Amino acid sequence: MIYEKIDHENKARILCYTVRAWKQMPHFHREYEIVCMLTGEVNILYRGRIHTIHRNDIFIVESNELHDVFSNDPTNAILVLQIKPDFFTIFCPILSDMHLSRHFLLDPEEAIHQKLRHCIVKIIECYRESSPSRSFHLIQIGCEILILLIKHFRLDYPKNSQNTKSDDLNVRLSRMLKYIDDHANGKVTLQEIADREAVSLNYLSSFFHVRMGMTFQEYVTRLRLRNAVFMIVNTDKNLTTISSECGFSDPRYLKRAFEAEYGKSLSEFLESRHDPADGLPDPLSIGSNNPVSISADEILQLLKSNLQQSEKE
Amino acid sequence: MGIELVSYTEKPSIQCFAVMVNYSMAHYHNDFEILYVIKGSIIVEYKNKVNTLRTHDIFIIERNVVHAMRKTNEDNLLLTLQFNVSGFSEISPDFLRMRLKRHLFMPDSSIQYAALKIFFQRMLDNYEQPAMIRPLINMQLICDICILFSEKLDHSILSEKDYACEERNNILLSELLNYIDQNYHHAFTLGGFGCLRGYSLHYLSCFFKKSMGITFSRYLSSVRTNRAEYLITHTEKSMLEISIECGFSNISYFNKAFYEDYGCMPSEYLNTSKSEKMYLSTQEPVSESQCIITDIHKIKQCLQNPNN
Repeated sequence: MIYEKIDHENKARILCYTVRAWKQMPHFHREYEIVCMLTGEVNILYRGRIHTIHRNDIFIVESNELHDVFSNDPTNAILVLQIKPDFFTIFCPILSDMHLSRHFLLDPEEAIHQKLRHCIVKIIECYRESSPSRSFHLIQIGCEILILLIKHFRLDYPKNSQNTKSDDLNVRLSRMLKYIDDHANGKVTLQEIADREAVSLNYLSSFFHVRMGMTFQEYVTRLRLRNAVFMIVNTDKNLTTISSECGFSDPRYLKRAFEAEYGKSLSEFLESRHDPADGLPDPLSIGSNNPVSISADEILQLLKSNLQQSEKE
Repeated sequence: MGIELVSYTEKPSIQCFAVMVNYSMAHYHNDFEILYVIKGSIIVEYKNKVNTLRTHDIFIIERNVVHAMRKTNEDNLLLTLQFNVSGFSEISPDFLRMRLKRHLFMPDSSIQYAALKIFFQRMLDNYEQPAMIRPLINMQLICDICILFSEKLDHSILSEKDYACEERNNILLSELLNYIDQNYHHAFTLGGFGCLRGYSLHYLSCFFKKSMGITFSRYLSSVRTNRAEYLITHTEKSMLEISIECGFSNISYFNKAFYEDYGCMPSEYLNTSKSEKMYLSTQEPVSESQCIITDIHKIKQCLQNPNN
């Protein structure tokens, strides 16, 4: 069985699922995210740097931090735990403005690493048992995780420091991404956005590059390509229609972009689509979460390996 | 004063305080309360049933259930754990419709009693935790209590229909109690409220008795003596002034009603022991009357050492 993405408005505000990272778009969201590698390795773009994490490593994403998870390793499987902050900030306001000192936990023997994994194990067991008081159990464990984060990693920033500024910039970035998303099927230029934001073209170009780890043009192309691949897989439209609907002025550009991104030509891909020999996930799932079939038992086993038994507090 | 209708807030919270109860008139609120008798004994009227709690007994008061407390012939000290779950309505709608079958827990070797008692200890420990994580630890405690209620305590789940009906009745009752609270100081009748809201006197009087467990006139008299108690302890007013201000038509009614609730004449009241509420942390609101800060360690010892 797989851990389906559980509806966000589900009662507990705590979400746990497995995915296989392949190609994603850099994105950010308000949820805290704890990424735990189950198998294989993935690359993570975080704060302008690319990190490679392996089995058992844990990566923590702060609220509203831009990140991207991508991999060429067809065997990778990651477990993602998302904690929606809204419910918790109502009674614990410091969470709304929390910054952490560490984001990568690479030593599975480290106490905090063990404790976090232990919490994740409890969450999975909790989902599996489906008791009527599950929501309370989940909140309980959510609190435990947040307490661990506060105790071990919380940074004491003086108020009015760069935080508020960086929040403003996040708002600007999300406004930009939204604008690009809405206009990617037509013409979208950085100059237009610079005019809307009332900043210079140069500033915005480097702002985008620093924050997103790629240039504006690269991002737009990737986004268009993602939309196009989705349509190729899911509709019967011909390539010319698709490329124009996705904002490519010529199907040749679409083909070129595809080859650059996936390392083989579009026609090769279309032929081999029904032949899963290469083991790569279908690009259908690019950008969306790609559930992996791992049984709960397997996940638990992976998480529990070299987890010390003495975790009962 | 009088009714402690805790406002519907979306913010879950939990607090603990020690209280010495002399007389607490029938009231209800949106919070759950778990009582632990540290010292002496106390009478709790709950759902038209009179329970006598002895030392170390634990009693659960569910949200929106009318309850009243009065002292026995010995002094008492209660530890109260009060928490609300109003923010949980989305998270676990079933929980709000849950009704416990048993409320009184006497000291025995059952897991229920042990678990309930541990909540008090945990709450007291929580006060000593860093302020930054305290809200989260408190939330864990609330969750654990809810888990115990739904997994280990006997209960039934109200149907949606019954629950909606109960909610409607609660609203009517709280409006009625508010109305009494604003008008007790002059002569007024239940019929007056009925005319205002289009209910018959008969319906309202049955509704009141059923909801509150006491008759309307008995309740009204309690509201008045309760206010009088406050004026006696907080002002220098004469008994005559107080009796007029509280809506008693003459002083002998006042004396009689007060004696019924507080076991002594109003003029003797200042010399007897009073209800006291002690908050266990300096961070708690100090607005409450007769609020004193007490030593957490002492209470903890009482919990750990039943014979102390």
